Amino acid sequence: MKDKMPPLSRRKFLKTSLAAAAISAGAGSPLVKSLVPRAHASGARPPGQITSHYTACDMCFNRCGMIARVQNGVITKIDPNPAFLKSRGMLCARGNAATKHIYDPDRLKYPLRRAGKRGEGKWERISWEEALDYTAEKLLEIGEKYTRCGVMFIPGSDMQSQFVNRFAEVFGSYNITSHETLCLLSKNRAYLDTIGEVPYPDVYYSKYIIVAGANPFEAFITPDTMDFFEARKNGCKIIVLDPRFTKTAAMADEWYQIKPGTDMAFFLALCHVIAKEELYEAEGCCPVNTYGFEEFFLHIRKYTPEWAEKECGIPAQDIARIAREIAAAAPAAMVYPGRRTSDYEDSTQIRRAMAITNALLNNFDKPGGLLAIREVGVKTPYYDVPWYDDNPFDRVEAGLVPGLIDHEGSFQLMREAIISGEPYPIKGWFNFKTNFMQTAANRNKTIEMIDHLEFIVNIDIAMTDTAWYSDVVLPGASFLERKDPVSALQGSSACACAVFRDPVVPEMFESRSPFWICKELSKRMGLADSFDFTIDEYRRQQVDGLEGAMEAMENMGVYYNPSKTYGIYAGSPLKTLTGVKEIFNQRYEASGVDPMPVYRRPKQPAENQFRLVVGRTAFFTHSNTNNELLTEFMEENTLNIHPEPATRMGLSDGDLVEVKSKAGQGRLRLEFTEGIEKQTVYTATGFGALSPEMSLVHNKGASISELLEDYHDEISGNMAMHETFVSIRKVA
Amino acid sequence: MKKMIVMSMAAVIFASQIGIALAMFDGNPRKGRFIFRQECRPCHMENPIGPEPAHYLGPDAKRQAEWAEVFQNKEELPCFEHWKDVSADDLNDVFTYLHGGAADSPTPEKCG
Repeated sequence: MKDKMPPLSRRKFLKTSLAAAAISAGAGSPLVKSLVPRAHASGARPPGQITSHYTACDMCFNRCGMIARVQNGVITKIDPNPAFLKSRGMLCARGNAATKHIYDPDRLKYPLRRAGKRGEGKWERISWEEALDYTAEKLLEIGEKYTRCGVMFIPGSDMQSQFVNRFAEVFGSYNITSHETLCLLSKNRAYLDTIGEVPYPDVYYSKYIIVAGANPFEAFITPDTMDFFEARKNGCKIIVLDPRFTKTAAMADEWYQIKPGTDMAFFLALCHVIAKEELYEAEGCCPVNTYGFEEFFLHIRKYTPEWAEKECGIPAQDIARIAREIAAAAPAAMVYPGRRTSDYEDSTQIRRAMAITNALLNNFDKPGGLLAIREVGVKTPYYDVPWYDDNPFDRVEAGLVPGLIDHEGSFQLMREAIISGEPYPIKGWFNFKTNFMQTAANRNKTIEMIDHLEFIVNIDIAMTDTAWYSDVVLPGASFLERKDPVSALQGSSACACAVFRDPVVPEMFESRSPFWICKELSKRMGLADSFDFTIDEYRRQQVDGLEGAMEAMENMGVYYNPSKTYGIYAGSPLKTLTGVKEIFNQRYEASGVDPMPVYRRPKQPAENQFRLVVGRTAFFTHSNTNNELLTEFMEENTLNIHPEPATRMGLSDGDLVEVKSKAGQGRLRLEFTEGIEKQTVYTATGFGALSPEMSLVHNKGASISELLEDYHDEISGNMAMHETFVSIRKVA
Repeated sequence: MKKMIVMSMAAVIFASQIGIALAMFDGNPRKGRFIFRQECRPCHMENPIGPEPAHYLGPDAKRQAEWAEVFQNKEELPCFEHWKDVSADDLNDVFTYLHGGAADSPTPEKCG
């Protein structure tokens, strides 16, 4: 299958490089925009043989198997890998648009160093040698002045992130945080604290699913998204609770326009009915395999369906009926855990209520329920970490919330610590492929944080807003140009699998992989031993003992481990403190946190104010909007609003409005939809870019990071992005 | 029968938890991680490279109660000879690390 790669034409390479060298900082200029596609266009010479190459997508985090078709050294088309079970052989619009990712005219082409003020956009081109020397010097300088923990590392969510993580560790900083702290941390916290691990939903074999605060038909998760369709064909009933009439709502059997922030009320009432009517399986579930069931029974007495109706707006008789239906379908039934749960200040407790409902359904480790982590068998190669005696005792934000996940931290709380300088200073930022200037709430505060930093180095494929505010910008190679380590993937009941990537085409311009960058930096910083290996050697260590794994990945694009899917625990205790499902959490009680979820009415917007909610489309991942093909779906974000309140305020569909919060303001066009709760507004992520080199989304619409105020989940420190109220004013 | 076994195990585990309370494991887990990787991991990694290859061990390989038991009976470890040269403070750091990232800890940790 894997054909010999035709080399990139030397003539074309020189043409591109020389032309790129001829211009200075204006990488977003029309010259460059026209240059790149033409230089790599297959029409410049007679069409050659088409070769095919297995790889794994990087347009989002799912890593779907794909086959890149190459002609004359140019990737002309991307197809799904039909043998890739995790995505059920699917490749979405984003995967198909990967050709415009690699051949994006806005790509960074060579290392740059800031020559003006941060954000001013003045850059000087420097050589890799100079960029690496300078970066190594600055990191060492900060380490010397402020300890090694004086540098914050954000390694991204990429197949090479493990190398950035390794670099951070051998450098000596444990102030490492991630995009996940803006995403799913609170859900992970809730499930860890209820069943001892973060489960994978077995959507395919489920018979009844409640989807609350998730939108898997647009925010793709493989195989869940495809499996929802199959499950539905097989008679699975799907109930959706969402203030918005999402695509998932459109495909559901029942949609309830729940009042924002009241999901916990619904689930506590659901539990009330299940417990009161003894709809749980007494033999396998409650109270025998739970901790605190009796306390919970008393705790939820007041949370009746009638009470919940007043809070969440869903009729009491429907709540009671859904409780009876889902309990009857159990254990092949579930409350879908979802992914992004960075919504409210009590988001962990909201997900605890969902996790406890799942506990009552007794669906863990069973077909159609929630699955335990399956064995893939990919190993982590060994490396030494140094110890620095002068380092502080703990992470900079340690102890600020009771349930901080140590290896993830909390970007929001770190940002506060950097601004305050307490408990100790952080003065450097090493960033890979994470764009917090576009994705983290309260952009102005991120800029304030940046003002407190002495050095920022950023590896990315394009000049994102975060790169725009950096001091050194290093052009990263795209996933289609890189040789990547093996990555283990969980695919629910579809598979437990592993993939790697070989370069489909050579690195363009002067782009380099994070592995190469970390290796070169480590040589300059006395850490060379930590990166003294090749990717091939690293991979061999990863799959050591996994018979046939390397061959399967080479010949089929994926390795499947036929590991156990159900009954993994087989009577063994769960990984919780008590060994059973923890409805009552003693660690919470010891930390002064409600040991069982207690409903608190969410704060409400004042008259003519609206709650701003955010979410994903099926064609953009986070702020990765600057793609010529994908922006055909959406050129600019709008503000979804219900026509009734808008009309009352004298606003019309299509009006340009100023949207204002306590954090900032932006301008958006109104888009009327009756499919949104009347005091809720919604806008898409990834627009209103500050960087002019994100040319397709610069000055287009508004950025959620500008509008959202910064709140966080009180247990995990996960960002809380649905707590912001905005006012709307028509722009003359 | 299976249910009874699970419940009995859970009861034992929970009782051990109460027993150990916070009487130990008050060291520096980050330093403990460093020492563990230096002293233990070469022999206890998935593909051991140390002088006496043994099975994988990382914080998540045992529950907190089991680490407490190991700590209390460390003299019985086959590699105890090796531990004799490790100071009491360092030992406490190692077990603080292992206990803090145990399988049933709030944040289970694999030793990567």
